[in-house]
Amino acid sequence: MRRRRTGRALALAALVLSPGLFAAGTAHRVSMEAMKYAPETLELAVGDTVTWVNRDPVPHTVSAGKSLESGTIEAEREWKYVARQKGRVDYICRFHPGMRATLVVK
Amino acid sequence: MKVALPVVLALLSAVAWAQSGPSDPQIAGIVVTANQIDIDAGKLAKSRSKNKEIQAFADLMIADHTAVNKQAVALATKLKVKPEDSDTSKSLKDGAKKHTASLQKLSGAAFDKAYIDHEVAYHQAVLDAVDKVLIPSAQNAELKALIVKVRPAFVAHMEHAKMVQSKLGN
Repeated sequence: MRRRRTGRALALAALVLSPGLFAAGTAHRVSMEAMKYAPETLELAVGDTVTWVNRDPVPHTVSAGKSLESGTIEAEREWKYVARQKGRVDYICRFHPGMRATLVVK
Repeated sequence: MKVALPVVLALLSAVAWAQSGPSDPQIAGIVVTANQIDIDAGKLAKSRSKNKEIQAFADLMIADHTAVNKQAVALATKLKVKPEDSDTSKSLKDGAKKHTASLQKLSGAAFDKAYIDHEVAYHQAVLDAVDKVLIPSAQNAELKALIVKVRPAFVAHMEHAKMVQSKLGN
């Protein structure tokens, strides 16, 4: 009985100490490669996480004003964002005006 | 457009060289030189132009070509390839000197026009050299892959330069 209680306590402790393991939401990835965001349109839900990965040899940004601003993402670096509000967000790279994409948070 | 000619001609000579082809150390030397020339031109534009579009474009050229050169040097170090001078890299340096001397005589709108006209022609010439000489001649797979990876950035720079050119009313 004592062993079973200890097991339950450990399981409970694991739940409390590892909230990241049980975080709601899906993880998405957007690559920045060949001077394009891929996918160019990403549909996601509130609470989902998006990770932008810069595969280009030059720095990029993910910028849509105050609601979404990554700052400089250097080559081979990543930046994460958790969607908190529903809506459509058109974003650009502040450095390269040809790079445009959209998040649709449902 | 006269000021653009020396550097562009140097790159066209690289294209004419395609039959024999440069070695990997020479390709590394051409890549590093071509990037450094545009970094230096950007620094000159930053110091002489008051136009916001030119300033932003020059900032971008400095940042992007510095990032590319950092990766080119890191790869050359990893591969133990020492960038070598060649007729093309020497011609590029000579052409850049002449171009810089021409730009330094100009100011205001004349400077802005000469700088951005040259950036359009320079990136086109670099792309020609990339497609016709550097990619076909590169022997090492990682060196070739880096040049392929860099190409879309050069295309974006040329399009951006054309956009600035049209805004200046060329």
